[in-house]
Amino acid sequence: MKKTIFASVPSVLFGALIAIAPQTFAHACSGHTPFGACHYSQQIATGIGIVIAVLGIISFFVARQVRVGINIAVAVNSLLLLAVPTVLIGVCKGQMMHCRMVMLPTLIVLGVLALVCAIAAAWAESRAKTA
Amino acid sequence: MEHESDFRDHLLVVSDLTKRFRRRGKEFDAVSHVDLDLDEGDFVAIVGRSGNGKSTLITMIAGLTRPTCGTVRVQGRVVGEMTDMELSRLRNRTIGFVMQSQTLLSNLTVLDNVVLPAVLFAERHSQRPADQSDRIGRPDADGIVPDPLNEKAMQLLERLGVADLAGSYPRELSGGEMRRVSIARALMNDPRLLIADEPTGDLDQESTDIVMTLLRQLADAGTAILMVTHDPEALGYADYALRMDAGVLSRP
Amino acid sequence: MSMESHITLRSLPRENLKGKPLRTAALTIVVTLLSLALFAGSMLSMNLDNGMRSMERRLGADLMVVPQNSASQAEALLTSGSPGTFYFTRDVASAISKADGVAQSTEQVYISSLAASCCSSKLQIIGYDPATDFVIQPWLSSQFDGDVKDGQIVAGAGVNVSADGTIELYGRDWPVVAQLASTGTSLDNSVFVNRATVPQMVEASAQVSHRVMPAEYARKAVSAVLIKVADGYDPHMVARSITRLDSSYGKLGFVYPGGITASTKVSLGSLVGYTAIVVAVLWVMGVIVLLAVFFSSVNERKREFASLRIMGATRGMLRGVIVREALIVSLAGSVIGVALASLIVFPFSTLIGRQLQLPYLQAGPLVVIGMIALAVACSVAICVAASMLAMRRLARPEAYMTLREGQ
Repeated sequence: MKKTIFASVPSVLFGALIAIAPQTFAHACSGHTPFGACHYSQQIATGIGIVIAVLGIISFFVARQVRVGINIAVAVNSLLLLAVPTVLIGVCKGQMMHCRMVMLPTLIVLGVLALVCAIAAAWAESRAKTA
Repeated sequence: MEHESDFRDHLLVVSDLTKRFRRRGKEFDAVSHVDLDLDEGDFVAIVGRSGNGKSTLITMIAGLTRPTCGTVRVQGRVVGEMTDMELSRLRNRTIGFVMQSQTLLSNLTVLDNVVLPAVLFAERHSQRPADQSDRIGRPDADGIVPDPLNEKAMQLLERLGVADLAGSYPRELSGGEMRRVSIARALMNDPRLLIADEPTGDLDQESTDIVMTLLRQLADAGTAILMVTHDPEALGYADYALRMDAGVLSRP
Repeated sequence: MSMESHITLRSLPRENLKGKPLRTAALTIVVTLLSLALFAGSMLSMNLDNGMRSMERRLGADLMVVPQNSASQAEALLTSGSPGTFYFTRDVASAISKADGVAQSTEQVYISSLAASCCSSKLQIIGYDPATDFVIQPWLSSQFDGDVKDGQIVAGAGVNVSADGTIELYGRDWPVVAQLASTGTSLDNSVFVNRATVPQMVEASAQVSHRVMPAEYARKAVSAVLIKVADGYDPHMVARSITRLDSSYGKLGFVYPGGITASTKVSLGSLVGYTAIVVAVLWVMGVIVLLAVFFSSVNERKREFASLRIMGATRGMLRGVIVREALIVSLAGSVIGVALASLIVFPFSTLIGRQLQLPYLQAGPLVVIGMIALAVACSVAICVAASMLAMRRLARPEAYMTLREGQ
């Protein structure tokens, strides 16, 4: 049970943060129409965050082996999250723009943390009790 | 095994061994001018009331406590003159020590506790011509290969009737079980001299028989055994008993 | 039951750490906090120091004369980087340059751009005069060979230059001939043009109906006269002598970059000081906690070490076990700490600089690697030292007696 918490809670927590942060304090740059890259990165980040959180919730109720798979999925989703504002879509180019100063680093930090936790959880769950 | 072709051919020679303690400003001899010889195969019991210096005597023999005067020779060498490394090797290779109190390492399983003495001087161990070739023990990756050290520890646990506890941790064991595991650990390196402080202290009748029979077999096979005990049952297995009274050792 | 390979002395510390998960976690967390605080604190101080030195180099003038009521705007432009437009006319400027005590003077024009395109911020356009300049040119020439010709732009580090090497200002694309290294100051958000380019800029701004200044001023506007005072003169004396040139000059604004640097230095110094105090307090507390944990485990471990001693472990082996346990814990903790600190310090670098309102220049990779090594080394050293201090009694020769005391 303890292990389940370690393997599932981080996904729920970081998923929720990844979903909420871009819509609140780490929002995209405001006021420019048409929407810039940062707006789309913001929306996708929220989407990925919800996916990660839902995966985390599901992982509470499944077998250990499935939880390994779910954590791998969370890890891959975290990589996707990292790629969105950096490679796939990007953010605004101005150094001092809010999306670049706050949203990008916030997403990177949350993405890295979610990635590390998911990999650790997948590893721990996959070797538990198999010996 | 190499014998020192000394004039003293005994395994253990204790001469004029004295330990002086100071208690409330007064000096007294906890161990007073003790002489004792032990040969291979001897099984000697020391009896006496507690507080009469029995434990002090055997810790001095093992080099754990320094005597005030007198010497202990093991295999002809004076214990007090050894370096830390030599003394440690002596304790590891030549002397097996079963303590009165519980001394298993709580973080290790029973099996690991028993194996540990064999790996402290690991480089020496691998040079020793083992009955089972050391090559077998090497491949760590393959868990199926039986490890010779683990095998040996399991045999000892088996003989002491606690093999089923090999994977347990000491905190899961009863006092008697811990005692028997401690004995297995002391025997892990095939000591020439086994020193046991109350080896049957908290054992029931059946376990006492198991342990004492094993000790008797070891003595018959050439191990010298020095045992401190209160237990009349255990005394019967020894060759003879010595009495310790106010630090003085005597034949009763 | 499958047999794993047997235990070794090397694996004993790991087993000990696994056997006491709470103690191990507590120690790891403490070391994590120590290295996090040390690394984050020293990176912050170093970056501020870097920014300060960079700013000092950039503010090469002793005195800036700006139009009336513009002094605070000019100061803001130097320190916090809010772009502004202000100017007086050239005749004033040339009069000022003849004042007593002026060794060197040069004129600059400051124009605030529109937010250039959808996704960038306002820029400060700085027009300087290559013929008389002594402030910008030395810096430019360290990174860019040749002159900035009319219409060309040199961009600060923070300016977003598009892929084809141009920048859009007032609806026109201007060729960028060089981009400067980061300074950690407002100048990163500036573009530099030859003074002769300024009228073109003004014209362009008019075409997008955002005229920055009347057309008749385009050629004679001067935002600031930067002055280097002659030897033996104080910038304030020179300022007074300028006000005496003409009765209307009394209202001119005077900015003393040296004073700005000095006041920035003060606030920077106090910030670095506070950081150092916080880090020091954390370390003192952390070391106390480490010692407390280690000392509290001494008693319960007496038996364990006496037992090792009895089975023939040398003093060196016992010390090895103690040191390796501390090493494993402290290496893990300090690496986690540095990693967590890096997740704050590096991605949020721009935000930190902005929030501090102080020059903040990210140190180079070599310095960062050095700081990582230092933070890890210090954390490991303190943890190992604390454990050695607490446990030294356990490895002493008469170990058995400690065991008997414990009976």
